[in-house]
Amino acid sequence: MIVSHDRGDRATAQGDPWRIGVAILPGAFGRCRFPIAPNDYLASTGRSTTMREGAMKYLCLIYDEEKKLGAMSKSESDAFMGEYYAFSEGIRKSGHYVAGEALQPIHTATTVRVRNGKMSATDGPFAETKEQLGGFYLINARDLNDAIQVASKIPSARLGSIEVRPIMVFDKP
Amino acid sequence: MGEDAAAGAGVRETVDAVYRADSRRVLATLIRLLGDFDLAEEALHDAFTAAVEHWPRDGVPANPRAWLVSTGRFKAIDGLRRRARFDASLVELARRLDAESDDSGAPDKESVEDDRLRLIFTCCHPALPPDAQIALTLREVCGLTTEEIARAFLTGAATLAQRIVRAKAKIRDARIPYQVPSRADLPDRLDAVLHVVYLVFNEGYSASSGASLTRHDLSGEAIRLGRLLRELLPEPEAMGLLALMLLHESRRAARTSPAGELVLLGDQDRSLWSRDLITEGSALVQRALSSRRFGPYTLQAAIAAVHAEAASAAATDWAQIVGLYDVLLRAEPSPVVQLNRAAAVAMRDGPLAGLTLIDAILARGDLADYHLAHSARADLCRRLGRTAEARVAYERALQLTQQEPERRFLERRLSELPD
Repeated sequence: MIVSHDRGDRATAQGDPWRIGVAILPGAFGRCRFPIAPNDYLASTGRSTTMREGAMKYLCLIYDEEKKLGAMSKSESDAFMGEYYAFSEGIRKSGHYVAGEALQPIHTATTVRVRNGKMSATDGPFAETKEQLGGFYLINARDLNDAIQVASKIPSARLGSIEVRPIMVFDKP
Repeated sequence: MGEDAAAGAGVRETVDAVYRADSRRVLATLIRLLGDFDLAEEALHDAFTAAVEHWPRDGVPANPRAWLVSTGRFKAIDGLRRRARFDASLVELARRLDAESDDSGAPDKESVEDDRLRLIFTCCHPALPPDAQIALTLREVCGLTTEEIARAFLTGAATLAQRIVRAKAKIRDARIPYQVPSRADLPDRLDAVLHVVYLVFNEGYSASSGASLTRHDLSGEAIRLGRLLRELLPEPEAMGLLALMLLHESRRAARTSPAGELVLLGDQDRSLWSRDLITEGSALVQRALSSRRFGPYTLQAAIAAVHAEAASAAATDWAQIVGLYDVLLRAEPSPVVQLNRAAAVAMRDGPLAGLTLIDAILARGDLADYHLAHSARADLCRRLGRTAEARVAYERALQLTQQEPERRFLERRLSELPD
């Protein structure tokens, strides 16, 4: 068995076609494995559909164009908030919801740094980007496909974009 | 002793044959059972190593694939147990994998085929970067080595290996599931898979850069993937893509002269076209069209089939080809399709009609940097006797092409222009 710290995907050509040099990072096995799919298109074998591991947490970062949101009429903005309310209710019922908040606009942001022991707090970030971080949901999901499904239903997915990031799990010390 | 060695060599050949035929199936199932690409690749390696050791002594098992799967799985769990002495978190994993043995011990044919589809859909998951989807598919589904893929794409092996490692890390860490998409997601996800196969074929058929016009191995791999997909998922567009690839492939021998020069469709020696591939491709086009759920690949294949069925360039049914391009434009309104349609219109209605269309496309700026738009314009100007314009357009095309045979072709055409 070939075990090394090098994760390079090299093939070691020694004449045998199956001599594929596999390199494994020790300790990487314990987490984030494939769950067994509960809704496979061709799942016809009646195998257990229980998940191999529990749900994973994903953070859905919501990026909106503040300009676009600011330009909404009262009725448009009420309708948009109504959609958010319904969405939050929906993911509470489905068991995906862990937490979620909306953020005040970017002009309220302060950036804090400590360099050489000296703290500085400045206005900003002065993001030149078109979209700004406007809120988040922390969700439980079976896998990335499940998380993408949830994220695609966040109302801002139609106006801005949603960044889906898995939450890092640290092994117990 | 001599007999033993001979028997050993025979078994060795069997192992090699099983590897070629079945190693990707075994890998696909091991990934499902072990839940990890790297662990499964290691298990695959161990299983074949064990086969070389055991089969000469105990005989080749009745079902070599099942033997390899269960041996690989056993070796992986065994390895985890041994490593668990240094990493306690592996104890639980080994126990869990072991406990799952009952319902997955002997894989039936259906679940094995499901596993191959799972592998394809996972490698072509849209959350992976496009480059990585291609590399991972060729590596895991086709079994090409990193070096082979790097050579085919003229990339450094280290870069390519890094791409594959990162993709596997994302599959693991973001938990991209090992599954075939649900029916609702299938059309979009199948599009992504077909696109990867199409890109691999194109890279092999008309290498985007470099000295050689075709890289046959990649086209062959793409066709193998296309056959696999059609076999596993009888969707019309999977059929259409396979047909498209087969019909293009049928012209391979005629596309280059013995000196390695590019030969255009109209000038090709049609007796060099592969009749077998044309028959197979045309039949697939018919089936896909009759499903009435076809899309852009089927339409492109239908256009290729019309060309393939013409006894000579002059006998080409350009009216039908323009009609198919009209339908294709509705399905996929892209400037490249418009350009191809313009070329077909030129053949049906004369060069001036085509030139008017191409100039309109270029005026919109969509294909200003696309060498084929300029070489098509050059060709029509040449046929209209507008030599000065043809010269400018050939020169522009020459600046833009990155492929050596195309460059030589354009230079030849340029030098043949009257003064």
